Amino acid sequence: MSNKVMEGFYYSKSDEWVKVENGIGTVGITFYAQDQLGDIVYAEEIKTGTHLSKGDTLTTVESVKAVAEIFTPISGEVIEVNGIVANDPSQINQDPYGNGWFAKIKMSNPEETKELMSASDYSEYRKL
Amino acid sequence: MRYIPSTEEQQKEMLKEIGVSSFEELIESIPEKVRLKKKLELPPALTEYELEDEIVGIAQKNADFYKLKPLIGAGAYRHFIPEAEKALMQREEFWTCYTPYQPELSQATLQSIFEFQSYISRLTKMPVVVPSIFDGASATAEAALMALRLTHKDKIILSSLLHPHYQETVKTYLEPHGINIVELPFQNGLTALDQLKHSLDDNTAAVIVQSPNFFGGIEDIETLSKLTHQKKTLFIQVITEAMSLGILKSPGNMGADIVAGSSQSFGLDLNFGGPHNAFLATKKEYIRQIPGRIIGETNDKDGKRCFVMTFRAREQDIRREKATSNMCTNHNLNVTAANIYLSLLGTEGIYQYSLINFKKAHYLEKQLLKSGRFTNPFQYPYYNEFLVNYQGDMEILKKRLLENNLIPPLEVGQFTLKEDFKKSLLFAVTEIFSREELDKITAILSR
Repeated sequence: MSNKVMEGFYYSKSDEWVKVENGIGTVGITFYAQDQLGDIVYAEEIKTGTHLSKGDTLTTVESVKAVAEIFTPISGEVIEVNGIVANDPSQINQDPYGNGWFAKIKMSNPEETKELMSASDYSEYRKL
Repeated sequence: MRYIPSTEEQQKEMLKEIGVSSFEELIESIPEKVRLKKKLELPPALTEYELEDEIVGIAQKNADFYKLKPLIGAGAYRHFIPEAEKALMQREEFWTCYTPYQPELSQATLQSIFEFQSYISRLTKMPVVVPSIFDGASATAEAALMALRLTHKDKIILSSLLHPHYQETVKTYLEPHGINIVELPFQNGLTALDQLKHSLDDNTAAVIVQSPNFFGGIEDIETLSKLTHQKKTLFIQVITEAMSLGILKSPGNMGADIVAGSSQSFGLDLNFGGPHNAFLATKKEYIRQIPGRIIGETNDKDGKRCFVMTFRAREQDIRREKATSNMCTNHNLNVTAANIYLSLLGTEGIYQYSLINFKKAHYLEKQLLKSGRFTNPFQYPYYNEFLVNYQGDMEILKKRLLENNLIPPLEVGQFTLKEDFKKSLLFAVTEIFSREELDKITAILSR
């Protein structure tokens, strides 16, 4: 399970992850999510400055067989988006916890991470 | 529709199978007050030969285009259809060309759609073609919705010389979206360029202009699209007479971002207004916002050429309410007709046909003006339709034309356009008229 989850990240039931540093949450999708979607060919542009509430649509990604909504697991303002993903969506498949991140969100409610899962809880939830 | 009879015994069996004791019990949930208490008032039953007499009697009231030649176009055009196309269209293999749920099983169907995409792409000079939309009006509305999705803006500018039925369709589609629709006036038979500068702003998602326009006028698409692009607004060109693509500059070479049009002129008869066929074409960067899907060419596992349905992931069977469109079917048989027609014409043929249309229309206009009974309200470049004002009695003119087996031109006054067009007639002239016939028409109308 080494590359399937990352210790210290938070996980949502809809398979997004958050890494929190100094009140800023970096959001991406899990190894399991990208594996389920298959080869990702497109990720819709995310606009910086957008204010989102937990559960709002952050973006949509398109694989050869499906289009899926990605929801934000945390509330706040989008302060940075990952240009790498826009140019080369396959990074989401290749490096879901690294180069494949979607956006950095300045968290308006840091307490929200308590409602998310830990790496081991998520592993159990998805039976990884 | 098939009539499926059932005997009393069969009805009992069916009721038993679904677990109700009687027909009354089956319809229990329908409130008493909405039920019809009396029998339907139907005429007495006819014998088969009586019925045939009646139906044939009704059918004989129809006139066809061999009996009557139309001088009316305005969005639907009578063109010659080669016998070879008609013969090929009788092949039953084409009749069930619905795209099946496992589309790749039907390689020939997919190839047919792919060829149509290629034809339209070559004619419009647009790299992406969505084939086989029902008609030009709904294709235009889909183009408007596409522009709204792409720009996230909320205003659409429509040329007042977009076909009135297309305008109505766009307004119907956009009504629930709360979009601000602004109409662009016209001047001397063309969309008013200087007015566009005033209407265009940062909120404008798209400018929609038809060319050749409702009056047949050839718009200055290059200038219009250049102006439009200054505000990061998309330019949509609409085409109702696809035959014009044979000689006019391609939309893709004039700055159009989306092209929506009817392809009825390519091998389809008028069919009482439908079924026709339409297309939507766009640039590669907008491919993810197209309605429907496209057919792609690729290789199978053995490296052989094959066709696949692609960009399906945003269709409504997968995306439900988040789909890019609710357009869910197409006119594949009409696509096949267009393919046969265009392959028979070829590159040189479509150019020649298109040019003949242009020349014949200009010949008739010249003759009508010479007769002294007609005047031209506009001095504008036009394709195969032109507007003239008639000096005499309109009712007598129409009667004379019908007596000579000609369908009169469109009376523009019936549409609520801003200027007074009570005396205006919109003539459409295609290759079906010989020079002698055009001279005869002039003689009839000069009396």
